[in-house]
Amino acid sequence: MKKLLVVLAVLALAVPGALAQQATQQAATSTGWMGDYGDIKLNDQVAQKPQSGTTCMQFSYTAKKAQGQGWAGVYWQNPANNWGTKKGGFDLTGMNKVTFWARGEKGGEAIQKFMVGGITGTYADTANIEIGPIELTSTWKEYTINITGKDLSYISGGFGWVTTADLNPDGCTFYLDNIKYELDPTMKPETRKVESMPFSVYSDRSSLKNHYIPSGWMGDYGDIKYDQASKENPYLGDSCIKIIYNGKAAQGARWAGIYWQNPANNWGTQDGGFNLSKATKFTFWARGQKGGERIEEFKVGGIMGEYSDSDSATIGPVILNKTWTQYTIDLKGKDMSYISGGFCWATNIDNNPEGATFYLDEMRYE
Amino acid sequence: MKFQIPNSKSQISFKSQIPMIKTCKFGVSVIGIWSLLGIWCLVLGISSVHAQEGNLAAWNKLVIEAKTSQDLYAPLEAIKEFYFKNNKYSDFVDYLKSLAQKKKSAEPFVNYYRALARYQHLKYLEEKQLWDEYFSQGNAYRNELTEGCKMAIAATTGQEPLHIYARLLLWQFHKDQHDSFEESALSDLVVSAIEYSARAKDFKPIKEVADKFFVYKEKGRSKEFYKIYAQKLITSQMPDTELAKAASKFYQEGNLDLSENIYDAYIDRVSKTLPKEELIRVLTEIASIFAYKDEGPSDPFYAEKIFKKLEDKAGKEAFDQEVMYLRGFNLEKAKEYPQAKAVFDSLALRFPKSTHLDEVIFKSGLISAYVLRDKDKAKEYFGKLAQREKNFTAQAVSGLYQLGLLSQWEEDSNAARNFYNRLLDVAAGNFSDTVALARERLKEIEESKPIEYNLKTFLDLSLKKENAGYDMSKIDLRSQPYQVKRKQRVSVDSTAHTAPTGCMHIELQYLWSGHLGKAQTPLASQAEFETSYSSSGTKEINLVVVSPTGIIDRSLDIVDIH
Amino acid sequence: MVRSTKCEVRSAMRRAGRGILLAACGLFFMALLCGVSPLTKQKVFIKTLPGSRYQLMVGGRPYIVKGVCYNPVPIGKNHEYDWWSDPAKPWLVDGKLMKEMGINTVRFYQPGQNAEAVKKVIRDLYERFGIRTILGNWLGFWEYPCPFYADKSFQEKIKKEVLEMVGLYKDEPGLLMWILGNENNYSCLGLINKWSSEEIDKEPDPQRQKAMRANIYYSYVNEIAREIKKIDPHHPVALGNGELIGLEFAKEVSSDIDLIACIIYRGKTFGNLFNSLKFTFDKPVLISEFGADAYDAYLKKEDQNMQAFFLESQWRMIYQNLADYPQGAGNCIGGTMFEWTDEWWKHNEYDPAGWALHSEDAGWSNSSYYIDIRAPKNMNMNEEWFGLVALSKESEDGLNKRTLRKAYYVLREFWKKPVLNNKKKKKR
Repeated sequence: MKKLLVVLAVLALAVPGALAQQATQQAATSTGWMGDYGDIKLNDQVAQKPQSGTTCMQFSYTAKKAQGQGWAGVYWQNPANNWGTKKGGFDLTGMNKVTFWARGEKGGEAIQKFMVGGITGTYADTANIEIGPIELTSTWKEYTINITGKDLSYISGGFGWVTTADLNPDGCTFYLDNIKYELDPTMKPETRKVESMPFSVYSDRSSLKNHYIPSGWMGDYGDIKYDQASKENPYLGDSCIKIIYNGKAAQGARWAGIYWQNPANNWGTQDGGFNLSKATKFTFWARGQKGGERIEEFKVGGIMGEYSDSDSATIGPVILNKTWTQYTIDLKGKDMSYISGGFCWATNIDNNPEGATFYLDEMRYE
Repeated sequence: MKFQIPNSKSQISFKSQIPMIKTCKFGVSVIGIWSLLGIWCLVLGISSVHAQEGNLAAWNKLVIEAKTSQDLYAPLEAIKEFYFKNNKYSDFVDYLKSLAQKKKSAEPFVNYYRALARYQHLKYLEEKQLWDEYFSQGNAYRNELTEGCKMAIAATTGQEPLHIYARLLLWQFHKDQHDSFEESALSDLVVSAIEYSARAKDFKPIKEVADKFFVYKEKGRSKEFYKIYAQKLITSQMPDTELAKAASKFYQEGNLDLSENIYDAYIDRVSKTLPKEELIRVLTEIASIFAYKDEGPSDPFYAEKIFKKLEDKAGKEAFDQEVMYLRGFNLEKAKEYPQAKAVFDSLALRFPKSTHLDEVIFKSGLISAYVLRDKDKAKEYFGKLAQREKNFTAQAVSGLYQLGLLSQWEEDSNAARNFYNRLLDVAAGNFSDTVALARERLKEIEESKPIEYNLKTFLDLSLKKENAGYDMSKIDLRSQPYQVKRKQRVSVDSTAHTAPTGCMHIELQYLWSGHLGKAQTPLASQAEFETSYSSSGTKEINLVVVSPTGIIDRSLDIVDIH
Repeated sequence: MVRSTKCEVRSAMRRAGRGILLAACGLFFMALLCGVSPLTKQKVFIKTLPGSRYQLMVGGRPYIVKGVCYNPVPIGKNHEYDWWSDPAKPWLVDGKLMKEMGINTVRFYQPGQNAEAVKKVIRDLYERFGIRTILGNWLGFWEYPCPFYADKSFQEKIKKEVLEMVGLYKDEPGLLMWILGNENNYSCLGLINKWSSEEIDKEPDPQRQKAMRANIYYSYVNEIAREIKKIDPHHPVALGNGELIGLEFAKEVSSDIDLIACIIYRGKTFGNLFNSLKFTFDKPVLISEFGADAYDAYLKKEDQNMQAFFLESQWRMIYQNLADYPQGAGNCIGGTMFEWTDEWWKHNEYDPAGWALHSEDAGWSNSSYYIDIRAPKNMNMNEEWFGLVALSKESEDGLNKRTLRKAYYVLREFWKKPVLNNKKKKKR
């Protein structure tokens, strides 16, 4: 055991470019700023209360949407500014985890994700691993990104973080230190765990418990406007989802819908489903702006591809009321062990000649 | 005409033809010629088969007389090639069976080659869709395959190449089958190969293993073994020239990583031994191999690395104007614009009479303006080109256009007008595309209209200091080819890199401007287009990519028309 | 008198011998009558085993339907072509190939017009090749302008047709079962061949409308099933259904049907189909239409490997849900895959010029056939390439020459030795 610890210690020390080193070097020039980059300020020489050593990094995010995006993040890249257009990745085969320390200024700061790899482009990273969302505490806490079993032969986006204005409406300040790639012989690849209920798809715009991403826009996607921070009479909490379908057939399909997916844009091409076997039903609240809007289908599951969902369940057509009404999709007898299409709605022009504006809230598996 | 075949026992000469000529009067000469041709083909065919069979006999003799297992590799490979070339897999298996009877010591080889024969045989049947045999004999062949491999593995030590080949074949088979043995076969192979590489002298098997991993897209593993192989080559007593040849061969095979690895080691060696002149030549040659080119593999970053080495070892004087130009062009195509400009400046300074002069000055101007946001510096460059009185090159004309454009953007209409008019004067009926653009700009000035929207957006983003965040890193803009003849087709392609946010379906708009050639300005929905240029010169292509929530970035590409 | 005694004994012995011979013949004929010969009619029924597991029984033995949808339309013709009367008799050539493959059942969506010709086909297939026949009826689904399932006279007309069919073919020894409808339930959702009634139209809630249509349709199918059983108690009656959609209504009103004949295109597996069916409407299931095409719409070339991969995977899942496989749902009785030969008229059925061309265009999209989903606009399902057997314009025995695709062989081997604990990984 002692020997193992010694080996680990040696490895930990010997790992070239223990990323903290790189980070402190690159933090001076960390140029992979994304989204509302104008909202981010970095101080990499903060000397108060580093996790270890003499300094740590401080990031301030104002959530002011300087570039109008509503989200922001930073990538540690090699070389600087390499968004996959230059050949600068490292071969990190042999490492199987990334550890880092983080704390929030006050506690409660929400980071949407920390990631390793994920740069796309001509010289794309060979892996993309994310963890999150994470709520930081005011004291230093160590986090781990498990990269066991991943192809690390070319990684140019060594580390990164992203957060959103929705999660931090007043902005946030947080600190990072000691970001390291390591080899942990006891670490096993991540397996899919059975999620506990209730498992939320959406409760509020800033909820860390939201799952799935409304990325799968279908049919006349140009007809849809989507706002997940609507303050117009939410059912519960401070916000709800507002969808405006204008029925103009922008892409000529005469129908439209949105699929909530995991990860984003996964049409059955990636292994990204959650195990929701404990769910017996899916409930959500919906209302139409005027009442009478007809939604053809509300669905859960049903993504088909190389990685197909294990089942699907549908209700519809549904005529919405002007007042909030709860709907249930019964999941008894359904195999919910692999669901990457967390929720879906679809409608068409024939049944909504003037289009349809409607609201959704409190969408969850239970 | 005498027909000679290697086997001295049978020689056919012109004189002994078949008597067709004598008996058939009609069309005698025609028939005669055709029959001659027929005989010639027949003889060639027979002689080649005879030659091969003669070779086969010779190889077989080598096999039988081989004293050690080392001596068996080459002839058996040759025999295998012979049978495989004609898809005679079962015949090969029969041969091997008889060999086993005659030479017990060849048994491990017999087992391995039987397995290989069946592996290829199954692949052949699948390719030709000969399903009957594939399915009726499939199980039997697969058994022969696995048994053969296992027996060859058991009968050889880990230091014999055959051991590695057998493990490799077994893994390949299981991998193709996607079965439960694939993983264990892989780890056995990797362990054996690493052990082998630690001690063995013949490192060809390591390369085979690396090649197969590459083909099966096991990138990490293939890299690992290529590294080991490269190390072996480097640390072997191989003469320097052989090392260079090996590196060159890998380059030609498209295996740039490996090639670079070996070249690095070669350079290390020769840096210590070669005289300066020779070293300069060698480094220049290697850099040229990897420098950007439109056709064939290249690695501009590696080329620059070698150029740097050359500069370190031999100073700037080691670069003549062509090499300098190549270095600058390479950096330009690697989109390392500031470095490219530094080289171009150096070239202009050292070789003021260079044939590339106008081109490099113009490019330095473009880079100053649109990459470094230094329009005053840019004006200097363009000014140098515009200064001359006669013999205006295409770049000089373009320089005038750029001067006009910058002035127009600065809202100095008079200056702009002057530049454009001068352009029209000196163009003298040539450079039609630049002239057309100049006319458009003049029209804007005359009608007091703003600069065309796409172009203006590009200029704003590229020149205004507050837009420094738009640094061209989020767009990948490429043209193919870059060094073009007039009227040759050019494909321009762009990819915008937006880190995924997930929330919205993003429909991007592409604002194209600049010298776009024959193509009408592509639609805003077009991320790529094709064009051609009727005038020579250095053409700049500008792009701004916009998303519904704002501008993503802008980019510039440069195409040279000769 | 010794000589006369010897004569008496010999004649007694001859009489005895004749008697034995006669008795033997009598026994033989009785045996024939009692159905020992395979050529007599055998009762077909579904046996229920503990745990809601089901087996199809034919002649007292379990029967796995290893079937194929059969519609041998030659190149240059369309679905109206009466191949039943084709003098080249395609079923004699195809039947032999089917038998060699291991196919024991063919499915006809609807019999031809000429009853004698149909009987000949059924008999030839059964007597020469041991292949049994499933006969179906579209239940007027393709009637113009739409199937008026809410209309009594329409119902009666179609029912009469069905009962006529049953009357004609029920005594064929080769008959296996009846299938009523195919994907007709989609019309209840309003997805295709929409139909309605005044009462339905008055209902404001679209979900109630759906329920009303489903109730009408499934009750109607049940009524037909009951009538069929009055005249033919020896063959099961199946309800044809697209996916499991609507079966929660069928559960209430269609208890007289014996099994569900499902049409499923879900790629390499059937997902949770078998358990879901058990939960929704606990009946045995025949996968009456499923398969994969052999054309890669992305790479734009034939891909026999892709087809064989999907089909083998699908059959493996069928076998994993037969009654005797303990880890499965046990409610599957087999399948009839789509289909035996390519049909060159399908992509554009209104263009006669197209019937003589093997169209490489895809008619629909299905992402679970993920191998060529990157085709333009994700259109990857090539309707004219679903055959296990490819056709060519070259003539052989008066028919389009048949070339067996890889899937033919793969399934042949699978049926010889079904390997159900699939150690193979996901990819083809």
